[in-house]
Amino acid sequence: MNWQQFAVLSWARWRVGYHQLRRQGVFSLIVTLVILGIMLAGGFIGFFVALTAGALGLSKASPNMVMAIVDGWLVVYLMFSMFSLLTEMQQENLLSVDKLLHLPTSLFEVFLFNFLATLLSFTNLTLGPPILGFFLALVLVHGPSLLVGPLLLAAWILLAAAIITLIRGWLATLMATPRGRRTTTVVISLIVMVVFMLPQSAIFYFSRNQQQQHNHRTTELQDLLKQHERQEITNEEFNARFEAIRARDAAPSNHWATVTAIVERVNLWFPPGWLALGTREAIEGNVWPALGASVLFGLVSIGCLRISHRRMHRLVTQGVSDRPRPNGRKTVRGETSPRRNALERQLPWGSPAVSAVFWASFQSMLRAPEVKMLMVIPIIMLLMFAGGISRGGDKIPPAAVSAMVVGVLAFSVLSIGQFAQNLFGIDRAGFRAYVLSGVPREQILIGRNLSLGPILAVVVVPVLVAIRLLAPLPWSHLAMGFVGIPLLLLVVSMIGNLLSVLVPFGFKPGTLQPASPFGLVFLVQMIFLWVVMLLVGLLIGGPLALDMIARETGWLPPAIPLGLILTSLELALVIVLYAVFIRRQGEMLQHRETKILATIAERGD
Amino acid sequence: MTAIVTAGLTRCFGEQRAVDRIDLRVERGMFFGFLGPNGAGKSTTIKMLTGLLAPTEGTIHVLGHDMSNSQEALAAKRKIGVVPEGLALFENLNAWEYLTFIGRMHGLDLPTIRTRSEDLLQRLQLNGDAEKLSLEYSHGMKKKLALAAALLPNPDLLFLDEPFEGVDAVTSRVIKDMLHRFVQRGSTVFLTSHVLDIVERLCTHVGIISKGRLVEQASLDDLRQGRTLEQRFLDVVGAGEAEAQPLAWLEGAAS
Repeated sequence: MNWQQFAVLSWARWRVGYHQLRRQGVFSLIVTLVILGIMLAGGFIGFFVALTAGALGLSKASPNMVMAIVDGWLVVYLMFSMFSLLTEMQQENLLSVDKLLHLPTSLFEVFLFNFLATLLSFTNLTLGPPILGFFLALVLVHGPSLLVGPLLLAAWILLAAAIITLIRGWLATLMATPRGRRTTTVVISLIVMVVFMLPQSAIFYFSRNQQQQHNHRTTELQDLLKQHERQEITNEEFNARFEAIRARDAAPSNHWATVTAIVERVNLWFPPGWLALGTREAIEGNVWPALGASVLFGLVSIGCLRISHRRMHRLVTQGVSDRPRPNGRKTVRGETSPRRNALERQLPWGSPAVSAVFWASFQSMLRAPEVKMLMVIPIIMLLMFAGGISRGGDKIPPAAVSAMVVGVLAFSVLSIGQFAQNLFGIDRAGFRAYVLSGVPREQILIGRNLSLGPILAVVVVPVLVAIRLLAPLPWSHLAMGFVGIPLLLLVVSMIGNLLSVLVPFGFKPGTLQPASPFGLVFLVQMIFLWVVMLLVGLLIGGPLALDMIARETGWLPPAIPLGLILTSLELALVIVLYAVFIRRQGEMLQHRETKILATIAERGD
Repeated sequence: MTAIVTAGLTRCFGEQRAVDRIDLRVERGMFFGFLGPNGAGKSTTIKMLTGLLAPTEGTIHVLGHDMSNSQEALAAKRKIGVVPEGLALFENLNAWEYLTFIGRMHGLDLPTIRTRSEDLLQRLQLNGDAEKLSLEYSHGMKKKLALAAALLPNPDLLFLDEPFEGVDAVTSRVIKDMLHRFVQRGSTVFLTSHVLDIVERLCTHVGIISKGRLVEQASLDDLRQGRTLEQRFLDVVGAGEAEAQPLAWLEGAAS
């Protein structure tokens, strides 16, 4: 191990991080440095606070309470680690093999640098000291047998570092190409998003259960009172049953026991939880689980490190990142007609240029990981809320079910809004091709606008159909939702074209975040968001409300789908407006295209 | 002592043999040009020679060190400078920082790093941009920085993958002069290039790789046999086929 090289790498890592922060602006740099400083100091102070507070207060804490504290720390640690990993993925990988192996350093040393860097990560430096203080306090309170605690903690930290090293190596292989990098970043972001949503779902589930219990109690009491009023039961029977209900409610809540049992089970089946479980057992006098877990953590760590090292070795010996891509279908010399591709297809209306722009934009968006993520989000949301709707679908008021159409359309339109309001930012190279072409600019806009249609439909249709299947959504309202797709697409396109031409911006690679998030772009995004919400409310919510009022008041026979008729008329009007405006917008695009190119290329590249 | 010796050097990617049984011999003090069409295996070879990629078969000796032995490979790496294919720069370090990083990785002391960095940045006309992050550099500037990093440890052997690509004429001249002097003192340069004119003017010896196989290896004069390098190169790699087939639609009258 060459310590000088390790010191140089650590220094370079700090400089890279510093410059990356500085590029986001001085204000951002200062704020981040202050936060990091506070957190590091907090970690250091946290050691003494945890040690002192633990030594004074832990004698009164039950073993389950200690387990809960350690579990709480574990959750924070895992969240921090995931967030760090996500941040790191968007940054330059200083310790990649490609950048170091031609220097006088060996493969094993590069691997060791990587592992040590993980071990000395910000997460460990911030969260490590307080938990160490806590475990030392346990030793002070419960005696030397609890020395097994710091051992278990050390083994756990080693395990976490080994697993993170393993994941980083794996991600490095996946991110060897720019497209792989974008896809991996998006997939990991999605996983992190789902994991971060889990606690919220758990809270939703528990509060829903409590609400159900409360509703059940109220119904039970109301039934009892009614039975008593109707003299179906005697006074004695009423009193006895009333007392029984009150006694049951007054009984100490067993929530804590339930939660403890769930946490215990999770700890048992989710190995990182053995840290908390082993600690609790040690406090109860049984040190063997903690010792066993330490040994297992150690063995798994060694296993992970071996796999990581082998993968890194394979990267060099087999050149994973350099492996030539398998050749696609080759056109054999003399073969005059290569395979028909999507861009040869002609839309039933519109010029060949519109068709070409439509298919090119649609294909490239389908291949963009960000769009795939966009299409996955409603499915995740659907899965999360489908259970709730299916359990209580028949109890949801019909008006609320119909209002869901407005909600789904608003959410979906806002999701594609990021593309619609900045048509050219996500595919800078593609925009260069448009600028170089001699195609009338309105045709480019039409092709680009229409290409968002299928994506909007893929996001909206399954969710609306699912609502129809799970809850009493009238057919006419479902049809309104379908008509709303082209209607809102054209409306959002008209506004989006204007913004794409007047306020273009680049995206950060692998994200849907603007490259310059502050100032005018931020303001425009906010205004766009509110305008779109207002328009969805007016164009879909308005006819829907009129339809429901007409049905409620009996002003129109229920057979006449007023909402659907009004929405269809709106669509016809919007098509005319779009046809009028698009020519003018095309001229604006032609006038400003070089400025747009300069903006999206400079800030986004 | 020979600078580079390979025997049966082979690199496979699955079924494909990117480099196929190459026996290369580069003596010290040579200015060796390694030529080949796109996808012939030049960069794969240079990666194996510099330890960035392990061979599937065969042996490599660089400056007398067996590259299959990790300790010896380390000793070889201390004596070589490399401008690899992707340049291997850290985009979020400025030129000063990057050169300091490279110097310290080679174990140089700070005063030496400072003096050499200053000289190199000045010669390569990067001193005015030394405080900029390399991500703000043009491709040519990045190439110059990578070359400065390769020269900083004062190596005995330089591996340069396409060093003149994207570099302006003035800098190109400076680099050529530097490399000439480098070879004159007895050091060795191994470079790949698509620009045959440059190779013809700079190199003393040439190797030509085609479809993974070393098809020629000789001194420049022996290889040319009175013709130009371009003519010889096209003969060796068999470029006649592409030239022979005209495109009828492209040869009609212009509108």
